[in-house]
Amino acid sequence: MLKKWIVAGVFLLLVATGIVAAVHLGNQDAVECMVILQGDREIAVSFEDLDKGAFSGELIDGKGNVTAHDYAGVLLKKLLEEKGIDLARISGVTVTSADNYSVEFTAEEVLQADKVYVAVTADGAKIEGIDPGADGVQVIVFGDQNSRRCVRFAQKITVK
Amino acid sequence: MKQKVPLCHLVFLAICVALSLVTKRVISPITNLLTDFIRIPGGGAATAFSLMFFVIGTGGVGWRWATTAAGFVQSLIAMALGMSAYQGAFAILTYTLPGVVIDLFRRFYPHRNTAYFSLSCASANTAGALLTNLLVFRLEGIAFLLWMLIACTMGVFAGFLGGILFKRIEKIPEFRRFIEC
Repeated sequence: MLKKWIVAGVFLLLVATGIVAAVHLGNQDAVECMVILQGDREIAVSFEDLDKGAFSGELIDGKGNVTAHDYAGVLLKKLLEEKGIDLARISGVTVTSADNYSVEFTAEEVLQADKVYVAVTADGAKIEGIDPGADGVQVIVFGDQNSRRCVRFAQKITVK
Repeated sequence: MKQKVPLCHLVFLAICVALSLVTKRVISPITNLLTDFIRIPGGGAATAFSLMFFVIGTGGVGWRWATTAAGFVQSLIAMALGMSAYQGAFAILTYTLPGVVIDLFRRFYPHRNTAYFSLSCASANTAGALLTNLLVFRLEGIAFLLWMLIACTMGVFAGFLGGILFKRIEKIPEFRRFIEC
């Protein structure tokens, strides 16, 4: 008799856990991972906004070695367009990481096709965030002579 | 009142502490598959199976605060072996509290039936999860509710398994002779 009550209790707990897990996962779909700043405007960016498709290309490291990589992410130009930024009126973009490293891009670089991307996976693995175990975002720039502008832990895009 | 603690009980508890630590390490990758998927920290689920050996331990030995002592010793071992993860020195509290809860539970419900094993393990795991959240994770809202529900559900399930396991080993004559030393 007691066992039946315990089995019923476990069943109820499992149902409650399932319902709460579904609600929790539903809320997680819009987890904010970056922010776009333009003047007073502050636009939240989620992982779902960034995970738009695959792209690949070659990067050059500080020693001149060329390596090919496959990424998943979105072209920065496309991301800004989707977030309602008027690209005709921008003069440049600054990307700042969670550890306050920042790099500049001119409007021409941002508007170029296949130049500046924001990636969420690299070579099939999720890009790590600054916190251990957390997912992160990296800016990928093709065509530079080194990888200094490939900002890890990217957190803030300031549109000028 | 001073209690006499038989050496065989200490040996049995030590075995339970060791099995508890090993179980946590072994079961973590499996429970993490679930908790990673639902995006909450994994500790609460794995700890339930670790506490299963604590309730088995208290099933075997009758002296007061046995599980509290076992939890405290386990916290020191976990810190010495670097198993305390992000908890650091707080591990002393988070590993000891479930032991205190099991001891208190046994005091108010001094039986050795399925309800004892399931509910003592569930309450100990839920209390441990609550303290860990308070000290380390600071989850709020739905995430906190889910974290507590998983800790409670896994606690009932692991305690239930612990009860079945204890009843099986209790029937072994060598175990009964050993524990009644």
